[in-house]
Amino acid sequence: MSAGRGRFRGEQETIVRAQRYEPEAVEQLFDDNVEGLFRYVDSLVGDPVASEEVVRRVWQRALEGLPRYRRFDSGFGTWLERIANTLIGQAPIPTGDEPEARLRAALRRLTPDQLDVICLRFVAGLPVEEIARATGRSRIRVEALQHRGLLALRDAETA
Amino acid sequence: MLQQPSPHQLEDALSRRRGGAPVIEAAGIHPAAEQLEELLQLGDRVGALPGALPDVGAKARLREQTVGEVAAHRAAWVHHHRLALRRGRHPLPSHGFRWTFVLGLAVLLALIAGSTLALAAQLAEPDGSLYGLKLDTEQVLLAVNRTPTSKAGVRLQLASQRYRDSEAMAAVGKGGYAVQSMAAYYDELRQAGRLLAGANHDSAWRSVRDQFDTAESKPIDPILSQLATAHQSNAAAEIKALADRFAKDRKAIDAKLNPGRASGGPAPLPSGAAPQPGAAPQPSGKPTP
Repeated sequence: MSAGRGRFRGEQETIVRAQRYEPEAVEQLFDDNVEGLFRYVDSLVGDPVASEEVVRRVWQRALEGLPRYRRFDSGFGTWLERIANTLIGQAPIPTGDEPEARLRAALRRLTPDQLDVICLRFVAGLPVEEIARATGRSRIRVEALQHRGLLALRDAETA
Repeated sequence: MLQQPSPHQLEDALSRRRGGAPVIEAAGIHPAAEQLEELLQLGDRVGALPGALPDVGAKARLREQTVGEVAAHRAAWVHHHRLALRRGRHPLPSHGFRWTFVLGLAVLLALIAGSTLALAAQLAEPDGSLYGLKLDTEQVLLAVNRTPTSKAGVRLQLASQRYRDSEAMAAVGKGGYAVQSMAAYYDELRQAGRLLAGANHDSAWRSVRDQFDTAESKPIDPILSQLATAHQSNAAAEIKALADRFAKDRKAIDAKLNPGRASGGPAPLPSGAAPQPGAAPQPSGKPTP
């Protein structure tokens, strides 16, 4: 879901209209982002039904917070993914002995800050600079969270 | 014990891996290379977690729910902004009161600061840094009095003040300041005498004239004694000379102010004669030591 700055600028006008809850603008934002968001959530949840519920709540919360949205330079999709990171914990923890299930379960044991950075870095594929911009953290702080998150993830997976 | 890579080393390795380098190459030759490889592989595995796209049914349901909620949000938004528009029809509150308050406060503070400074200046002595301000405020006092008689009254008060200044300076052994203050004292007396000589002889005039008699007869012996004690003989001699010079002028002034009184002194100066130019000390100002 990462995109260039040009796309963010083009998206800005739609977001401004969507902040006034103009139906066409919200529908456009939905159509542009729903598949990427669903894929992102499903990567972390691993269950389409649970993923659909998480995505529904993400959109619900996004609509509530839309008038306060200001991070035009880091992308609307990244904003949705960050909302998803805070709601992933409400989905059931994956079970099973498959490596993917164990990895998803290990991800859920990370702290909220570590989960936020690790998911944006490896699942969304954002570089550190973009994560820093999107989350309002310094680059050093993001690198530190990434470092501690990966170490914690390794320990949680082998525990 | 295995060495742990730093966060920055990890980020460097991740950037190389992201650029397409194999894991071993991205980890590089490093004491913590083994740990880095493990973390790089873990990152790869997180990035490779499969995520499915929504099926048609799920997408339709999500869309329907989202668009359905938009209508409710839109209604609330319009309601909120209409209220804001209605509020906007009323005239905007004026900031006049606020500016008046700020201006008034500034003026009040300036008055308080000025009054405090002026009060402090009134307590200043000739060797103080505020003494010049004290002399300036005295000039204001002179300016606000319009008649010659009232101006003469103020001059006499200033003369008394200069005398006290001279006493204070002599007491602390500052002869130069004492001389300057005495010179100003005599100067104020001469100017008061001139003003009284040209004024109408009413009851106020007589009152001020009596004050003049009192002011001009202040003894200089205590000041000379203090200066002698402080080994300021030169200053004492200068004050003595100033007093002698004023004594000559005094006879002329007394003759004008007390024409009917018997005078034991020498004959007064001719009418309208000014005091001797050489007798006039330097104008009252901040004395220099």
